[in-house]
Amino acid sequence: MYEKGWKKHLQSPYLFIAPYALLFVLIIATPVLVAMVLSFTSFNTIETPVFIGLKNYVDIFTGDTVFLQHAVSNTILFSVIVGPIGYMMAFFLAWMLAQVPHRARTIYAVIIYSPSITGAIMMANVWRIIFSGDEAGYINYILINWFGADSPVQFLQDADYLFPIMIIVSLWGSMGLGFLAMLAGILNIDRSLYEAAAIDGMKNRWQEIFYITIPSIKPQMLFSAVMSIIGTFNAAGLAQALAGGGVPPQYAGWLIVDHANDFGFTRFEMGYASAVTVILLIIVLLFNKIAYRLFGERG
Amino acid sequence: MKRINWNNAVAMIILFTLVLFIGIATSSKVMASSTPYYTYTTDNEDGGVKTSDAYTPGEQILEAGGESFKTLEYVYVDHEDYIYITDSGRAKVFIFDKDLNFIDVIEYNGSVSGADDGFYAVNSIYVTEEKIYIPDSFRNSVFVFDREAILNRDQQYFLWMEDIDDSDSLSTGDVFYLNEEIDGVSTPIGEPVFVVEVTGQNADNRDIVLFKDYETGEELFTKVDKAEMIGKILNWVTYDYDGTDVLKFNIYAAKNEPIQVITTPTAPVFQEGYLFAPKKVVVDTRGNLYIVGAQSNNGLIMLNAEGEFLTFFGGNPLRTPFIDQIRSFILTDIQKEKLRNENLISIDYVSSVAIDEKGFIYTVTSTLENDVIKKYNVSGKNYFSSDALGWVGAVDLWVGDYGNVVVVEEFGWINEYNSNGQLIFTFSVSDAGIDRVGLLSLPKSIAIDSKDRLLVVDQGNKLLQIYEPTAFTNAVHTALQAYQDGDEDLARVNWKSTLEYATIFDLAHIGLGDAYIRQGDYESALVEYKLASYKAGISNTYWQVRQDWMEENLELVFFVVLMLFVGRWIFKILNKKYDYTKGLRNKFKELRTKSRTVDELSYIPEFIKHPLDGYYQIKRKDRVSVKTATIIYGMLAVVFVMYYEVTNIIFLEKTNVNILYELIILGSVLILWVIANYFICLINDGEGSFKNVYVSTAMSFTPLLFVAPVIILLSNVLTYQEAVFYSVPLAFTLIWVSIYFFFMIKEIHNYEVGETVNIIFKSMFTMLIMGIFVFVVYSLNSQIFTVSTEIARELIER
Repeated sequence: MYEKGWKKHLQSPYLFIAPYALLFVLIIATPVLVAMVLSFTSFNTIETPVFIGLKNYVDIFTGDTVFLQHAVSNTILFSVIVGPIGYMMAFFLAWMLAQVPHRARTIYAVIIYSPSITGAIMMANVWRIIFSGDEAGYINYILINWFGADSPVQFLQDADYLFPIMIIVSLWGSMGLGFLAMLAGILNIDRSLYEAAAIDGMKNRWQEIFYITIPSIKPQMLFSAVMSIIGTFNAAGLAQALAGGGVPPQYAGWLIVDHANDFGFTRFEMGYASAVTVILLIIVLLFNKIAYRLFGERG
Repeated sequence: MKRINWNNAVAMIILFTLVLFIGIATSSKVMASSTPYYTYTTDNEDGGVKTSDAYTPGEQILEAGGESFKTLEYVYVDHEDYIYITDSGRAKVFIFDKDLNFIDVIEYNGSVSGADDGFYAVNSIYVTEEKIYIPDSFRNSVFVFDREAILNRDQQYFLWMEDIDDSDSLSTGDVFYLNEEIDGVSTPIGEPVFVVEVTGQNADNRDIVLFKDYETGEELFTKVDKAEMIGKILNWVTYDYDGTDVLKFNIYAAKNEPIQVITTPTAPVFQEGYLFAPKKVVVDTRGNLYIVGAQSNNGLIMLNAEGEFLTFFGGNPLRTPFIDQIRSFILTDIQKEKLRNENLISIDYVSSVAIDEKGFIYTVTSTLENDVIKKYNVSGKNYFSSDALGWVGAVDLWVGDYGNVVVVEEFGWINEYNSNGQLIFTFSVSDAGIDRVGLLSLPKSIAIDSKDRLLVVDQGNKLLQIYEPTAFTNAVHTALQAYQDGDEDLARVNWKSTLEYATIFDLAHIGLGDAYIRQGDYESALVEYKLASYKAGISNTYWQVRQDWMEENLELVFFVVLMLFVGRWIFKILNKKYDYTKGLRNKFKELRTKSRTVDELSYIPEFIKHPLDGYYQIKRKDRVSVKTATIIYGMLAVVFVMYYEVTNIIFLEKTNVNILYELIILGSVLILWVIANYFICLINDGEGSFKNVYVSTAMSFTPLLFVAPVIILLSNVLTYQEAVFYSVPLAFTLIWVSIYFFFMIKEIHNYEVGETVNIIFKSMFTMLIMGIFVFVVYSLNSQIFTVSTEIARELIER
């Protein structure tokens, strides 16, 4: 009896998922929960948090003009441009890479993937020089010497230019995990499917893509979509890095995470920063829901 | 100078006074009701709107002290309302006081007799509290006079002349009497003192006049002509003295002498041949001169008070023709150098300049179409709105007391702007050959006096026309001033009163809105801005109104949203268990089976999810009928109307549209598309029938039916700051629809991708051709009719 009961417990499925569950709770669920709880408090990292109800949220929606006028608009615009375009680019690059021979493919994959890991350093070295606001900047050099512009354009200090540049730079660095997942997915597709389709009257590459490739890698595509949504919404600090520290001119390219960082780690208003991140979480969930609708199994 | 015909001059004065008197007597009633021109203001889309009269024609100045004008150039009003009119034909400046009485004239014949450094072109005049500046482009100089000395020139003595032989000129035998003051009245003294004799003419055909003592006949002195003889004759009055008519001369001893003459600066650029030909000048508080020079490519010439060159200022950028830009890209430096000499780059020379009390320099350029007026600060930054409406030909401008700027244009338009460059009034005083008081043939210069009257010089008719501001204009000015002074109540009252004169007057509504905002009344401001369709204002005030509302109600909103979520969740659970909606669903199912249209309409969501299947169904299974497609077109029309009617005005590009007109345009484009696409595909192995094209086109638009109403409604609670929420979904839906469109053509007609692209271009081209054809037929309507009847008659009669 006793032994059987023990064995029964040992065989319990809960025990099997226990290690994962423990780590998940510790590393992911707890911080999120803590952030949610903190968002209802006023907390300066030193004193004990004081519960203040919805005040943080009310302040965000009524008093925080920077958040409402710049951060939200910028984040959404940034995400809806960089997310889908980066996603499509990732798919087509992965598909094209799948067509080249193995050795070359590996080299190409490393080249394409590398911007997403070397982002910050490369940005300082490459993009800031390209868009530099004096004649030494490549684009200004071309504009002045080839097209006869009278004066260099202050690309990185002008609110009108900074945001598009930020988008270009992000697209350049967006071939990350999602891209690798799709590449792996495409390489995993059974060749015989294509052969069978060819026999059945497949006419061209477009049909291959639409009728075989995409349906076969749907899970990877969903993963990639989620990654790109989270990635774009989590982006931060790009505008500052390009414009050279501090707050970018006229809050151009000021994203929600920048706002949270500003309140959390500059002003140490952790409660308020948590509230901002909770709002971001809700937005991300919303967009993820749309992604599931589009790419999920039901579709 | 020719002899002056005294009697004629006198007669002219009398006539003029008479005309003026009659003019004044009648004008107050007649003119007010029938101004010979219309005044316009701008609405929110920079369109012209007719409004009440802003200025009505008033008095005219036709001559100065008996001397008619010859070539009027410029008018200036100083701080004490003295009016200065320059006349290049007479090389003089005429001075009038504020009641338009002729006071004096500024003349300068040169430093020594016969020297070529006197007035010649007298292009304009500028007057400060101490000095008078008169630029003369022909003499390459700016003459500086002392204002007090000019205005208060001492009257040395009076002389009385009796024109013995009635010759109307100074001729042999004319006698002069001395003057005597009796009880403040001046009369001639009993006996003449001089008698004159014309002894001959000098080389310039001027009379040499010998003055002799009346009694002894002793020769006293000779003089050439009257100017040299008696200095300046200012005015003369006819008196009846012992039965003879005598003329009283007002004699000034001193001639006008400039206190300073600024000539070509010594700076190298001028010594190397840069032309210094001052035409207009303004002077700032430090005494620096900003000079409009003839052919001054670099803009205004800025000199300090001593006449030393400081810098060039406010030049118009060179306009390089597009062809030259391309050339400069291709050609080598040597070729460019060669071209440079032959090139005709058009330079836009500044036409006139003005300065306001804050020191902003205003320029106007007659050859420009855009950026006609510029308002520079010291460092040369332009503060005038680049959107300011302007016309080619603007020659002169004046800055009024309220920051308002008036500009006169050679073809007769007079525009008044507020300090930001928004057009307040515009009216055309061009006479177009009609001779009416208040209409001008060639206006050259404009000024405003302290009573806000406009003074305009008409070179063509050789007169100065005065325009009186109406009560409407006065209210506008008072409101502008009050707002600047921070007196919102006064501004509000005055803007309101302007609305009694002109109901469509966006400027007043905007002004009212601004006044309300200063008082913190955002809701009233929003109402006013909406009346004026002032988008930026609407956006900003709505933001504030919404913020105030949120501050009060946000917790309630949170609560309601939470309740809705919880309610929905509970309902879902309960519905799963008890299935409340079963009845509703069954009803709907029944309806679907009964009515084909309902069934087809409820197919739309499924179609949107699987468009490729959908096109297959339409093509092969006749899934959607023509009737349903027509209903969809109707629904699209409703959405389209909604777009113009319901969308927040700040997101619409055109606000005042004729919806029916737009609908007809859109409808005809769609009809053209369906027909063109069908026929093009018919001859290009397309499989789709006409019905297929009609139906699938309708179905391709269906995503709009779902998205557009939502964002149209949503737009009403958005401001420019949240424009993303409006523009992004809209852009996405349009892209979405275009993708469906593409696949529609591909699937319906069974094309490859390349073929599809090809077909789209061909269809568009066909649409264009058909459109042009319809247009031509429409315009030739009557001719075609006549031609066909002619042909018919020919056929019948032969």
